[in-house]
Amino acid sequence: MVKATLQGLLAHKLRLALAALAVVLGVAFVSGTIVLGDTVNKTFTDLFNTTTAGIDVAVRGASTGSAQGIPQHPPVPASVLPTVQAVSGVKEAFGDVERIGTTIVDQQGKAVTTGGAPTIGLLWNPYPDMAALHLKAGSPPQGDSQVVIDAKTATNHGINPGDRIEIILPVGPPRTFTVSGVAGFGTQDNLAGATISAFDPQAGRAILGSETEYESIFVKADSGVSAEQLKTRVAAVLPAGVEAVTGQSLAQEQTDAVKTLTNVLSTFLLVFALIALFVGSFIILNTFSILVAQRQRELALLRAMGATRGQVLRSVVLEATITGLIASMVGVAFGILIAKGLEALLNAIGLDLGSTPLQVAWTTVVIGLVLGTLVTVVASLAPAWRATRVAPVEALREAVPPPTAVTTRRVSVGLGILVAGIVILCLGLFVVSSSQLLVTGIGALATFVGVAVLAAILVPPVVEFLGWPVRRLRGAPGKLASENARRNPRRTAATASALMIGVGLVACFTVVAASLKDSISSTIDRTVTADYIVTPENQGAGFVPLGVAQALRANSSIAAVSEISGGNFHYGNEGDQAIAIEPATIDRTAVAEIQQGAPLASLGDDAVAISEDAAKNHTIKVGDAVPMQFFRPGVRSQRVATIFARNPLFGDYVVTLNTWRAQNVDVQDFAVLVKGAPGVAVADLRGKVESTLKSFPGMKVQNNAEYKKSQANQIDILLNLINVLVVFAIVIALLGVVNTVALSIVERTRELGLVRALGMTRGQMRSMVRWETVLITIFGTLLGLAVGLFFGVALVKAFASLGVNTVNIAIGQQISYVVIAFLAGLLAAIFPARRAAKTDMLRAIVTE
Amino acid sequence: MTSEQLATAAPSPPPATANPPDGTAALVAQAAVKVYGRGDTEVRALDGIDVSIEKGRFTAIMGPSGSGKSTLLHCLAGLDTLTSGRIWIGDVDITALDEKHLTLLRRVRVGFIFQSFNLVPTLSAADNITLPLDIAGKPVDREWFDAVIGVLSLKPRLRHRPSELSGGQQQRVAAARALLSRPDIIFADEPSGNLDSRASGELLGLLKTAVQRYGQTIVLVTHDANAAVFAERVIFLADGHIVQELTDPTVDGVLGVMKTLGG
Repeated sequence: MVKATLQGLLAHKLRLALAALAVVLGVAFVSGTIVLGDTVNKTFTDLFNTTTAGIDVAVRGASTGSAQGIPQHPPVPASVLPTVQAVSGVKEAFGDVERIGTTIVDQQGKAVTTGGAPTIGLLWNPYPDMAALHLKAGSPPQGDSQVVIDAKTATNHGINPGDRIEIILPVGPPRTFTVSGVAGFGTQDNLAGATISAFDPQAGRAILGSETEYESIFVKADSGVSAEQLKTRVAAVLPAGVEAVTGQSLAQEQTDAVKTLTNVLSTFLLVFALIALFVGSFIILNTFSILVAQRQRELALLRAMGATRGQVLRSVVLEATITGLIASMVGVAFGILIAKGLEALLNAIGLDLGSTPLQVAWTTVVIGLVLGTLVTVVASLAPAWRATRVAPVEALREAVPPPTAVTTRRVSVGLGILVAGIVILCLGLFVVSSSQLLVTGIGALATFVGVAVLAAILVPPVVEFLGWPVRRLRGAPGKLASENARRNPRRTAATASALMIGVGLVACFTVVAASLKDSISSTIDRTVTADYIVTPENQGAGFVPLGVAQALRANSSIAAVSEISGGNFHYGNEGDQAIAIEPATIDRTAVAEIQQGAPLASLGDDAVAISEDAAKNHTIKVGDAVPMQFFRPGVRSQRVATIFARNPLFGDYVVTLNTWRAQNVDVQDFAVLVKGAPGVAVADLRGKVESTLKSFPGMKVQNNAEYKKSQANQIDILLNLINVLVVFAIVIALLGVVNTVALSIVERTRELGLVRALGMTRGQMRSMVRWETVLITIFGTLLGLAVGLFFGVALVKAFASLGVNTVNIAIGQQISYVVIAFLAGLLAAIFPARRAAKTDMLRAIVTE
Repeated sequence: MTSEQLATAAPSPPPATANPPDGTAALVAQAAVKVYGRGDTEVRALDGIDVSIEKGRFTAIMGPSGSGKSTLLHCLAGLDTLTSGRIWIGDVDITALDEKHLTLLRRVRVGFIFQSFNLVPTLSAADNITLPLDIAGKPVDREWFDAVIGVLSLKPRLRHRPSELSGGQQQRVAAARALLSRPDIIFADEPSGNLDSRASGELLGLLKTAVQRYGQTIVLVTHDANAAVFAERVIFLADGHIVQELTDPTVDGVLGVMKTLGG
């Protein structure tokens, strides 16, 4: 029996090839993602081990909470440094300041941007045995007019020691520095894409705006004193709220922090990879179903010769196992290529993995092989079981198996799964508060499966309807195409369902993106009354330096300058986001819909304005105190002064800029709103604002319409990125369409021969197969759009609390997807159509 | 056949021929040779066949298996190509046509009834009957359609799918399809081979009626003497040659000839 299976496998290897390709792509995507994640982690582990290698003990503020899962440590008073230096066993102690938003301007006057990595300003560590940065050329920075920059930026922008460059600082106006040297981290030229400006350890404190504090104090132990011992000694002299850790645990924490971030990225990619594999399982299921149907006589013969049902089952499953295993092996190998491609992609957006080789762990190989094989085997179980139902007597019957009818059991099972899926999806979106993503995902998965099961019922009427123009325009070939597309509803349904998943996701994200764009647009319309909005060009990573608002205030054409800032804080143990505003000018640049309490213009530094949603969630009212833990230690009790209708600009909690800046360290602005003085024409104001900002390269000035457009662009970029990831699943599904139609053609050799004999030309034959393929593709696309629109609207409703208050199903874009599907169908038809046209007429009609 | 149908059926003008058909023949084959394989494995399935099929007649081709009768049918019908020699259907030299024009010719000038698998399973009986005309994009002559299905008693079965029809009914649908386009010639390849004797007699009787009443030309390929006697003329084939002919055959006469051929 094993021998028969293996021979069968060889005989069908071409038929299995396309299905196996589906597994190959899915497994490649999965293993590529894992390899990439491991490589990113390895890069950072190495990097942090290098940068902290010489540090025995680090002193820092005790954590005041965490953001995105990463603990935050406030700075330590500068007075702690001499205290630490006095501890016996301390060889060297260095107080470090690090500020993001320290942007190098190249010699063409352009701000050096990164894809998303920070632009860091820090102090030059003068102790070489402890320092992370080491000079590659030149000398250390001295005094308040010298800087050392990272070798990567220097090379990329042709900056050499001795050159004078401008640097935009987090505080105050930009300043010009002489590059005294160029430095790198160990063998790396920069910190995974971040730009570095290192200043004199004394003068730099003022440059970076941190004269009374250090971010951390790094300590080197005398020889003979262990890091542990020193940590204990240092800890003993520290004031409250300041802690000491060993260099080793610092490296570990930093690595863990990056892992938290890379895991988010990996999980994101992995979700799409698993979707691709899930789609692949449909193709496997369909291919094995068709193969079993086509081999009905062969299987019946085996049964007639005494093979048991178990043997037939095992033979099909064995075939699937071998197919899955081989495909998975190829997939894992292919995955390494994918990881290489993704690495290049990351590099292109600014995350430089340097010279770290791709990390192919044996676990990755095992996961890839097991996952791919498992998916193949599980998908083959239903066809395998059906194979065991073949009665020995079928060996004697006509070969063409009648298409199986859609049973009422299918209807009830399908409806059951669909309803359960929708219920779970809604639970995930609207009810549960933890593991939302997982619950929603399971709900979506079940919904897809439910629709896939029910799709077989929809095939006859829908294809009949869709086929109408084809029949009208293409005559007999069109009629045959439409009949062929619906002759085996289960097969058409499974093929179309694979496509439905990818299209459904694209449609869903399109709805979310369009609704989000509309909401943002209407929010800006309703809330922003400023003439212009100043934002960083590089919105992903940039901030508006505090110097910008200062410079604009000095401009007499401007009546009001209003900074918008904010970030994380903790409400009890719960992390949340606060927005910081300037009450003095906010009423001239933005409008909030106040429901209770005082206007934002009278917001005090000890007060907070909250959204009605936040008021409801925490059952708080005007006059109540809200405990707010910002970055700096100590819970502040802010009195609720105002309750407003939530909108994406103001979020849920609004505090004054004073409060925000006093409680945080990185306090640059997100945006600065500008209102012109009376008598200054809005059109003229732009030039005046721009000339003020001349010394701040990397800032852009936009009016409301432009700002809305740039916000929409950002969402489109994100949507396109997601669509690119979904394309994988769609390509796999299209392979499935090719495979199904090609296999069906093999099955219909005699019928094709007959119609050729009756006068159908090769061209008409190709046309027939083409339209059959297009009908299947369009059917799958429409299923996808139906499910996707439902998902999209549900998601938007779930986001209502985040201020997404309009639903836009983006009908134009959805129609364009149908057009694309149509073209993709034509493309998918090329191979099967050619095959059909080559049908040997005589072989087909001669009775065997 | 209308002049319009002729125009599309034979878009390329018939080339000048050495022995053009004289107009009384529906089909003429001249020195038709079909060779399969090469060298040691060479098989001469047709070894110089000269035959003329008269218009409006019911002709049977008989022979033992391996005699080349199926190959002859395929070549005469334009389903297969000759190695050498010529075949005219009406005044068209089909051996001079390329694959595409051959296909266009088959649509309306040739009708087929095969032994089995005659019908497209996804189409109703009515749609199967009009299929060649639909493929050609030609209108259906409703009167003629009604006449044909009337003769073949298919009226109550028109909406049925092939799987809902008996073997005899399926073959009658195939016959209706062949008759509907009023082709120059209908080829029937063992049309009653899978039928019981009653259904077989019924079908062949109907074909004979079509010849007698409407002047349809039919070529029947069979190895069954009981079927062959429905024809007015029987041509016997052996080893790729025409070896004998009978006119107005009887079962005994046909069996006698077959015995000498070793069939």
